[in-house]
Amino acid sequence: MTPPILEKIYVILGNADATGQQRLADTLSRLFTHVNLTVNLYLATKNLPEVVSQVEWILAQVGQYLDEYRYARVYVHVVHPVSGEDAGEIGRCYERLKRHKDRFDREGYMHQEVPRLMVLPLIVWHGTGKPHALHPLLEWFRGSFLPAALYLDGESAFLPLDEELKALTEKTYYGDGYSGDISDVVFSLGCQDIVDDSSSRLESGMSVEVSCPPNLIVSATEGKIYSCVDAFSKRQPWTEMDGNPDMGSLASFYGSSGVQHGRCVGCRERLAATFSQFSLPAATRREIGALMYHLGALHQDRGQYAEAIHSFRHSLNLSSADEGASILFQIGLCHTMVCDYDAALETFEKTAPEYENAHFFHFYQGVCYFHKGNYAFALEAFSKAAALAPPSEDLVGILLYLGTCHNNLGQYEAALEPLNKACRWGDGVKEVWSSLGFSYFQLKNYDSAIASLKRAVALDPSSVADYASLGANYREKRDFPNAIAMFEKALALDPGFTPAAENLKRLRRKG
Amino acid sequence: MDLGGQECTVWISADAIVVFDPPDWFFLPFLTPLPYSLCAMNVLLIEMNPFAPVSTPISLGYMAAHLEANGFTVKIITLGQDTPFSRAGLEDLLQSFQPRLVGFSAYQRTILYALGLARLIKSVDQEIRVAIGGPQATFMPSSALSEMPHVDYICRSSGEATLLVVAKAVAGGMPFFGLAGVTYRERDGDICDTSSLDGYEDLDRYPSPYLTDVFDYSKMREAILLTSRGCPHNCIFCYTPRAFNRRITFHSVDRVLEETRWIHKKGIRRLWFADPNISYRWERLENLLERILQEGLKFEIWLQTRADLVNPDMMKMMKRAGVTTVAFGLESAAERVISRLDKKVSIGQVAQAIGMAQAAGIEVELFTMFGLPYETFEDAQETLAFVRKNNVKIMGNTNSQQMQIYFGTHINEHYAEYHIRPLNSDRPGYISVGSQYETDHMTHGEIRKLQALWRANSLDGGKRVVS
Repeated sequence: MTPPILEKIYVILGNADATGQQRLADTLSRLFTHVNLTVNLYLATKNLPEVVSQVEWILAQVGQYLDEYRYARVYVHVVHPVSGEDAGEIGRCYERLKRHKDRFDREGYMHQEVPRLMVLPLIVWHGTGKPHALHPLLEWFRGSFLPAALYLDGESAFLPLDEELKALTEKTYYGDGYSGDISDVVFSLGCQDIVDDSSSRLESGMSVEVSCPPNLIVSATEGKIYSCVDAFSKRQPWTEMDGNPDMGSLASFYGSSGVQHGRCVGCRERLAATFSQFSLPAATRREIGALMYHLGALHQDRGQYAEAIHSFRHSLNLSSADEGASILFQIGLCHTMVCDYDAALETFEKTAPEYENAHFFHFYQGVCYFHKGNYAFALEAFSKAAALAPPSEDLVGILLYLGTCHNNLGQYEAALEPLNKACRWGDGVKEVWSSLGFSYFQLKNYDSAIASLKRAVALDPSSVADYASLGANYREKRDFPNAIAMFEKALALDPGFTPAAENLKRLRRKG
Repeated sequence: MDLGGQECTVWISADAIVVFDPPDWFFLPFLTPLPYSLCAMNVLLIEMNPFAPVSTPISLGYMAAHLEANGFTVKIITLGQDTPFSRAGLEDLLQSFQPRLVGFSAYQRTILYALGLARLIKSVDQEIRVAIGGPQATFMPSSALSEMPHVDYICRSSGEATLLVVAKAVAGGMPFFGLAGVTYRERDGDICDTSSLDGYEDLDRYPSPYLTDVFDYSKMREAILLTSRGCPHNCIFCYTPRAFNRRITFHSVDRVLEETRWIHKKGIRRLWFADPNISYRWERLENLLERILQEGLKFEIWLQTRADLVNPDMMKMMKRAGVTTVAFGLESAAERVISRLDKKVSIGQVAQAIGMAQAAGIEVELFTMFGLPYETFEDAQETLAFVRKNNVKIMGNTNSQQMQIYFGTHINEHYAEYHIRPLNSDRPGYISVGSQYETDHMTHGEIRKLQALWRANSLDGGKRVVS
């Protein structure tokens, strides 16, 4: 199996001694054979000043890699908390890191759009109160590096309201509170990454039923490598750092969690749902809402209606009010598909303010009433649907239901009008001819019934019920040879079709 | 022919009469070229642009089709910003495909990456020959080859013809014998330029990359077509006129239509006509569009042309045939600036053309630039105002960019006369001035400000499609 191409590697740095540092270097060196032409390396630490030498050392290794492979680009994101009081010390750390990237700046800005090595600060705000203390540091980042990205948790979610701060930062990440464990931050970054990946796939019209981009998490503190964010959250490592990572086994892992089992969709959904619980701005919530809606539709397509309802409900909670009706309607449809008509009707009712004038609203209400056996209500709903000028492809279905409601209410004369109209619009739809045949039969107009049913069997020569109905019409006309022939035909198609067998038995007895 | 001396000699190949400057090893007795057709040979063509999504590599496609028609086996790989590709992947590809020749299409902004890949390729197999071609290579100074140790050839003439000559030489076991259209390095490090090589006048003589299925349609979102090549105009910033000797050559309408049908059959519904001026011969384009309509081929079409080559009827016809977007080159909306670009299209003509397209319901894109000769900061702001006034959405190709000074352009040869000052002089020989300049009329800081101004006015954050 082809080894995966790594696009992102998250490294959780520890207080490494020389051996630990070498172990990490060896691991990264092996993994870098399999990184994408452009790779994002996240170096996460809870205390940058403590590990700055280690970060410098990694940057030097990355520099050597870039010297060797001049087609490659590495974006190093340094992820660490800043409290405000330590801004000066953090600035001094970056002064040291700057040395390693400067030569690539010269190489890059002279000839290219962006340099091949970028060092991108990703600040986990860990202070209290207003973050003015951050401004000088962020300004310095903007001048000497690139604008920093900001990681916000529930407590610091007010920060984006600070316009000045917003102008100084490149991107905002969101998390679930920073308790001092940088692993939590890495998990949140991974979740957001999956949400971003899924959203961008949707925007580009691509499927989300695929594995996530192969992103590894290397925990130097644990000495383990995790194959994806989900595995990291469950603490199920792929391999130990000490070993020689078998990229083939990683490929098998990604392959086995493939599309065929729908596991990737489930995983994306689970992580997106986790992410949605963080303190997020409205736009991000809506983005996840759109993703959930799409996932709901995927479940719906697969006939997984319970899962679809779950996704749509999640989407409903995250989406804006004006999208509520369309989501609710999908939930109603799912309830309909699992024959939970009461729940469906209750859900459809909530969409009435938006869809009162839409034919499909009344149609699906009618379908629910119809299947509940409440034909009078169904008739009213279908009549409203028909009056709302539905497109021709929908009209046939509405008229068919209308006619069938009349038939079921014993209003056979009334059924003729919608069913005849349905035959004109949907000449090729077998069911309308069958229903029309039934109405004529009940009205004892056997010739018209036979004509209708003949059209039905012409459209579907395997329709057992229609042959049996033809037999019944001939029987009533006392045309027994034809009646027998039709019942025999029905039985030939389905020897277990009891009504045909009993009729035949009776006719033969008479004969 | 006197092959005994060291002087230049005329050598007659199957393709052309070329001036041959024999390298020193030429006179070794065992060097009898093998007929190339006896040597099965694989050629790998690479286009790498890590700054943009992958698009159909039409030029490499033509070369691949031409090489395949001549018995070579060709693979194309395109590496865009979203293409997953690793060192291990490339090494595996080199091991499995075993190309003996690798060709790169190089642009100013991608040349470093091409050179990086060339180095990797040579580290895997020193015997693989590496050629670079494309806009960056055509007029690159020959001396630049000495700064590109992992490149064997700079291809300068018509891509199909030149690469075929190189491929034949490599396949024949004498990679530097009988070459034309290239610059190469001799064993002693001397740089040797060969004579130029003309391509076909009649473009139909080149096999179609579409009809020969050179491309992987499963990954293609949009087909790029080149129904003509070259431009007869003289815009001082443009590479095309000199590259094509200010001539324009064409495919027949029959051939384009045949390709179009095939593309449609393959399920592609977006066409991008990359001709510099597709309406240069209106009757030809009219014929093509009419036949697309007659055959019921439904496409969304993007095309570009000059503002002085359109009329209202033409626009209506384009709309009916599926043209959704037409792009015009405005460059600058300051008359005193544009009059010095030798473009010979007035701002009024551009405004009229925009109106015609918009009246026909076609979206307009405008190519504009800042940092042009004699342009002041205020002039450049006029361009932005013009775009807004004419209701052209600032997104996609309408996002403006700084003028780039490329090899082969008039301005590259004469920048001092236009009061342009490069910001540094220590760039490698394979890089042109590009965007690293300021002018007497605009400082580098003002250029940066304009960049930010356009970005601030952009609806999509300033992502261009075409550079």
